[in-house]
Amino acid sequence: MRKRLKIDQFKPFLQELQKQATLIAPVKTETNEREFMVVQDNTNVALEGFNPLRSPKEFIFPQMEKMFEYHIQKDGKATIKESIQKEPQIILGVRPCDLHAISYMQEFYSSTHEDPYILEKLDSTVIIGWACQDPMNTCFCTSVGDSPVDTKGADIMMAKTDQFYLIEVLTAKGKKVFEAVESLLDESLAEDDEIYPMIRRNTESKIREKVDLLSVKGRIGSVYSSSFWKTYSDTCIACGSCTFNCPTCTCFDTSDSLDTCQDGCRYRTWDTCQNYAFTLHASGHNPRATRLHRLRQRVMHKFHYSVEQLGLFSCTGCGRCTRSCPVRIDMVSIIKDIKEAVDHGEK
Amino acid sequence: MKTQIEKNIKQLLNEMWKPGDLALAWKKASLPGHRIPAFITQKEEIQDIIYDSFCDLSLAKYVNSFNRKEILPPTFKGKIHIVCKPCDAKSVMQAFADEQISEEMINLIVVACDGIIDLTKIEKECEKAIESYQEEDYVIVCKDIDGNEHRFDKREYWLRKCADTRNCDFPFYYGYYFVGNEKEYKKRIKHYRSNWRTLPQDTMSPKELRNMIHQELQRCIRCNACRNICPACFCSDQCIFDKPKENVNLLDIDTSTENTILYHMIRFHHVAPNCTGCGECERACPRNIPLHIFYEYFNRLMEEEFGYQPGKTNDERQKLLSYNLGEDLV
Repeated sequence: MRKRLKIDQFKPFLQELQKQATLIAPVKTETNEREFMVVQDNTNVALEGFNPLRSPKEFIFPQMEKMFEYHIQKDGKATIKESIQKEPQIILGVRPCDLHAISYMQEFYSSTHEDPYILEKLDSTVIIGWACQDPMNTCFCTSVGDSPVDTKGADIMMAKTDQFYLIEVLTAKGKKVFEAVESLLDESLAEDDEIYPMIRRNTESKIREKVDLLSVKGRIGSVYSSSFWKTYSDTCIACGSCTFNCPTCTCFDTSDSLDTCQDGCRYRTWDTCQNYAFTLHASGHNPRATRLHRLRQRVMHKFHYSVEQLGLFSCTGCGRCTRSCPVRIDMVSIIKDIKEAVDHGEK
Repeated sequence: MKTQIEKNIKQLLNEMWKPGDLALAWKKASLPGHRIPAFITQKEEIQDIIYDSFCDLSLAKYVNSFNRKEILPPTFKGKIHIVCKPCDAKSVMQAFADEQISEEMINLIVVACDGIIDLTKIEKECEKAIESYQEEDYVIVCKDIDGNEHRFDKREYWLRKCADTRNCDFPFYYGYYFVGNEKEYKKRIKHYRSNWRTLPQDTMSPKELRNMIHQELQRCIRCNACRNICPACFCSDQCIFDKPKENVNLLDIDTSTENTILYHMIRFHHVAPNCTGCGECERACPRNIPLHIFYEYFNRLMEEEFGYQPGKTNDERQKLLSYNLGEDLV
């Protein structure tokens, strides 16, 4: 189902969404940045512009999350109280790269082991996608097989034209929200079929470079011992900026806190493979002791190990790693080297 | 002027080059306006070097990694020629003072810097992906992806360290090569240090300061970019925040506001005796926290209390690690 929303109806539309559930959207902050945040004042919502550096992953998989509390009874037995949160929320303005990241997370956290914290939250979240019209020069979604108008992972998809927003319902979960705002919407015309292809053409022409990685999908394992890794790991300073800003990085560490709860509670926080202690064994041995190992692990996981495990790239081409890298390691040039090494190795 | 400096760097390196040497300078990256570190091991690669107002990275960071032999090529057997802006040269100097690297290994080449552009500021202003940058005398001309041209006055888009805090003063050291007009440069920066601009903290009441710290530092995501880019941080993988071998669990990667503030407070105090004010922490921060003004605040306290500027000489002991007998403050 597809309908139009007039530009001047946007605010009532947001108000209606806010009534439905907690609304999260890119908001202009005091420091003139745009960030995904819980919308308080809906005049600050700014969907257009560069994709915010922090992805909406934060609202599905928070950086720090309480997993459970435990109480120790007199007889020495412990009771555990899980704190799974499933308050309904709507995330608005999620671009196709982040949509892919969310569907990757769904896949990842339900494949070998089900993670109720994330799956429950995904269940109670309605995701409204946004056709991307403002690529940055770090973007490379077309290289990993995505497109600026892909709808995979979205419940509702939105696109902006000069006169109206086009709103399309994709899932049953989305339909509920759609019905609540339906009174604000106008009928869609047949000519609207052209909008998505047009945005796609337009945006793709602005993307800096396309490296055809799909053609080597599944064969990237062969570049493990290539020499190009060293050119990048030499400059890498092994901070975790790339992983902490990545929409698909899923690693976490758990820790117990004794002073914020009555008896104690367990938290989980994001962890990063760029950290020396990430793979440090109790014996003192570290299988990924150097920066080269760690940088290669991150890239190989995105483009090869996740293909082996789940059959899909875990890189969505959002370019956040390049944007946040303090020493400007460019993911596009890494994947170019990967492609070249695979092609060259097979000749 | 700029191209002249670049030419002179190349000429100097060509003259000094011996087989087995390593040179560290900047080169172009594939993204417009991006300059990345170049590790030069062959004489032919010297021509790739670039120097302009976009060379914001401090190469001094890599000095510490050389010591651990992490990034030295197997062919290396000579000297490391390192090209530095004056602010970065102080970090190298502090690495000498902290005995992180032997002076014989390093050949310091200092360039007459004219201020470095803050790329993120420009990108924010343009609001479109930028296709190319061009540098004219006082203007940066950028072309965005739709073909529009934007012109920026360079002096308004400097990094904070170049515009406000200005730690451009030069180390007292005998063994460096200067590229550019040294006399003119020293004349230009003479007033910088004596006319310190006030930091926001200077005029704040304790309550306002507390609020500012809360407001800024709660954005931190503990990615450790500020720590890892810091030339003064040389503990590498043995940092207390990383839970090293001894299993000292000082601070988890925990993003509650109390913990992020504690993390930064530990860093402010810990780094104060060897922070040269190069501003790399602020540039590296993906959350745009103005870290530089916090470190600068501690730096100025250090200078007022001890009369000591980190990175000023190559042999002074850190003031918080040493004392003189009969000293008032001991």
